[in-house]
Amino acid sequence: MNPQLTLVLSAVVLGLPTASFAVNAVTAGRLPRRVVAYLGPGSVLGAFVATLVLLATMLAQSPSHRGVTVTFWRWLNASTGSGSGVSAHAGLSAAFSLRIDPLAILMMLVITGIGGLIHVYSVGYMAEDASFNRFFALMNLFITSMLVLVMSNSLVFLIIGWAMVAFASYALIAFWYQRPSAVVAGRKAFITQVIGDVGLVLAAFLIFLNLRGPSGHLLHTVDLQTIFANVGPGAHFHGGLGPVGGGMVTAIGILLFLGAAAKSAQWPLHTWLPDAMEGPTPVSALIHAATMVTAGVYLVARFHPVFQQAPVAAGLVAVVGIGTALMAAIIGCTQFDIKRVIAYSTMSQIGLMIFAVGVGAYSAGMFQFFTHACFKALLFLAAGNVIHALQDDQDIRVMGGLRRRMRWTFLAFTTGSLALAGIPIFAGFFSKEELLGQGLALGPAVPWLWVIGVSVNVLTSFYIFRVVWVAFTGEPRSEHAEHAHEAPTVMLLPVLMLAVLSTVVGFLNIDFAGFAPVTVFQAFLQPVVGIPAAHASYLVDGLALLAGVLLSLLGLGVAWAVYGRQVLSREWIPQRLPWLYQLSFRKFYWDEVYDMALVTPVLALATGVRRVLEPGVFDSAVGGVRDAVAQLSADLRTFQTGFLKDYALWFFFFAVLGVVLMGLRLT
Amino acid sequence: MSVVFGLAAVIAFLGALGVVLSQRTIYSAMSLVLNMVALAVLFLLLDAQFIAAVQIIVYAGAVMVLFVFIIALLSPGAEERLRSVELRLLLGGVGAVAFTLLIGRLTLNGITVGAHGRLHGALGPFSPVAVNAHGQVQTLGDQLFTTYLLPFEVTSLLLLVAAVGAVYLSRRRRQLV
Amino acid sequence: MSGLFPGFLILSAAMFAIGAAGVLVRRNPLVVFMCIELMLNSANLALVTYARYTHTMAGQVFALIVIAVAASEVVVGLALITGVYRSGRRLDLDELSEMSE
Repeated sequence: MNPQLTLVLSAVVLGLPTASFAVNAVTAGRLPRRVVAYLGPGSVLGAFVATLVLLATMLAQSPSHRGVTVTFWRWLNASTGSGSGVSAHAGLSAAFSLRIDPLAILMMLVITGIGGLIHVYSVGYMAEDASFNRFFALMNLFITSMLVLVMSNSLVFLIIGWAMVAFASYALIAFWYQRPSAVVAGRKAFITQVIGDVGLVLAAFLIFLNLRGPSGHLLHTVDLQTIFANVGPGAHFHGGLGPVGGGMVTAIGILLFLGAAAKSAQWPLHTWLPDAMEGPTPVSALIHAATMVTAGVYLVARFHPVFQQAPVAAGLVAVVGIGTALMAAIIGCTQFDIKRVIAYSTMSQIGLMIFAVGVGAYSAGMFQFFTHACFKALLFLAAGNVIHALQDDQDIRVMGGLRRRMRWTFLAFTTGSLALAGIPIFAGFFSKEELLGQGLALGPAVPWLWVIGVSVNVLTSFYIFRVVWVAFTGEPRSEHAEHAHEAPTVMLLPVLMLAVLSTVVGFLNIDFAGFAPVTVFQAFLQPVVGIPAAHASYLVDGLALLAGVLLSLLGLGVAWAVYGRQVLSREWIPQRLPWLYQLSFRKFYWDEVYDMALVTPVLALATGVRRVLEPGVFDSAVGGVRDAVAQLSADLRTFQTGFLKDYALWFFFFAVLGVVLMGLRLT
Repeated sequence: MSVVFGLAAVIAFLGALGVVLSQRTIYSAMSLVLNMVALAVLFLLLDAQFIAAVQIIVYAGAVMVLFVFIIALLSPGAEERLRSVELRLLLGGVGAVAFTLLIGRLTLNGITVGAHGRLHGALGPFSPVAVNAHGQVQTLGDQLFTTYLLPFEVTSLLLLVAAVGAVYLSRRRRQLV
Repeated sequence: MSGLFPGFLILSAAMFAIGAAGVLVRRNPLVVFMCIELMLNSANLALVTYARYTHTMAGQVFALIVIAVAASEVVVGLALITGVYRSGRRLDLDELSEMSE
């Protein structure tokens, strides 16, 4: 790839949303809505076009030349030496450099492409909102931050993007700051993100301090390519971060995953995601479904050389991922808030991706990320149409009968559900089968893993079609549902485009040209993440494929039987297994556990400080200083007579005193 | 030379005393003019021709004319004496003498003057001979616009501020101070 | 000539002391101003003297600047005095004590 062209194009990709954010932020609402409505989405779609050009230039290259590093400027340059060899020991140089390679461009495509569609949708969804321009300013800021995160070639800027994304997410969750619940949800999300940030920053410190080059000297670098080149397999005993499975590399892996878990809402840092649904629905679609929450998957895939050196950390990633997938799928079955169901579905799907990258099936995980971004954004936006039509009511119990009133939205939501459930020809089918197949092939051969994977599969198609049948069929159960109207064109168009995408993107992975041993995504991402040893594509295994499809249909069928035809009682589980129902409905009690274990003690401590420490120590200390100053001032005030002569006399008195003292020193 | 210095010094000293001791303001002003002219002579003795000229033109000319103008405008009468013996004047006189001795002692402290009018220690490049060869005003101008440009510019700003301030203060309005 | 060096400085000190005493003693603001001018002049004399005997230019430059400062000070000061006079008060510093408020 031509470095100059890449530099210019990546500057365009980053610059357009940044410029739009700056304009929106600086004008602070003085721009007319029409201008903002073109500026916000236009900048993101412009970035998407630039990304497409980048992709085209990349595909013109041979696979081994598809990664290029461009440096914009050097920053914090404190290197003492020339940057190589022993002389560069005590140096730090955090250059603002970008890495454009297949993994980054895949993320960029989703961020700008899906993000652009969601921006267009927002023009309609937020049309009535008073803070129209603030919304687009923050959305653009989010796009910028996310792009910095995925394009950065430096640990420093990766962390900067990582933190900026969290801020944008916070600001957008709490967008309707008049609602206390939104503010609380935003705060919860932000605090959780910061816990993850700590993990990522500590991991970065450890890498910076401990990474050794081939000759055994400390590298002290934040350049990702240098880090990966030295950490990976082949580095002998003195190099990298120590031997495979060593304490250092394992600690770094676990800390990295702490960051990834917070961002991707994985157990135990998952509780913020459902609450984040307080934000406007386009925000949920963009940040909490398509892009930001998958940053954890990206991080693990990007740092795969580290995880390959740390089997324990990678195992932890996989176990947490699959565990979260199952837990979230169970919770999703009993929630009534349409957005929360989709949120738990997101958590579950990302759990699967995390599981995949944990066991080493990077391309399968990234492919699932790609299709998931399409169909989950679709589900959210379609749900947004419903919510919009119902005057911001999100409870599926007050919906019903929307199929006839919102035909296109129903069609879109159903398409998204079919894709999510993994029904053939829809995108989710290809990615989910690929992911489960590769994941199970690469993971340890234990039966429970298979059982969990299959359960998630069944539960997923059950809970999403529960929503479809409850919300869209039957009779309207509220006034608003009775009078629901189809969404305006500006909202419908992106939804339908996403519906088309969710139907067709799965075929991208099929190599129609021939029977290559690897899938298209594997081949595309191979320069970055390599191809795992056991690379048998699950699609080849017809029997397992058939089983997967049948299980998805089973979930769908159960949902139909319970909520569609109502031949099965929906009280069956609550009555026979009340503990399971309660566990699911109360979200496994994690919020209560955190309240008890963390929030209550901290609040008690704070109250104690306020009751005891503050009046006793702080107030009296501050008050004492105040009284002393007041007394001193009152005393000094007697010198202020108002007579010029007195002032002049004092002035001369001290001037003479100074002269005398000077004289004493001299003699 | 010494004779000229002696004359000028005595005139300057008497002028200074006159400023403080005169009963009428206009006499004070005249004494000050006398003092300034004598100082200009002293500046000439010190090879500072430009400063001497400025002293005459700006001080004795412009500033004192302004003073006299204001005195004529306000025509303040003589200060009435508060007590028969002006105690403050006595104290001021004693203080002034003591202060003179102190300052004189300090300025001469440790300074010895060599055979050719040189102080001990390192001397600058601007000996009277060198300055006169280059031209006294030229040397001063060179210094003012190169080494001391910043103080010079700040001074010009100060003059501007003073002019604006004076205009503001002398505006006619109901209540001042 | 060299012997005059202390003479210049002593004259400067005397002028300064007389000016300072005048500032403290006199009550007419115009005279007080003149005394301040006197003190500034004495400072100028010291500056030029040192400049002459140390063969430097700084003293003369700053004497020039002091003259400029004195001029601006006089302008503002006289404006204040006329202002006070116009407001109908007697020109006596001992009667002006509003600064204590």
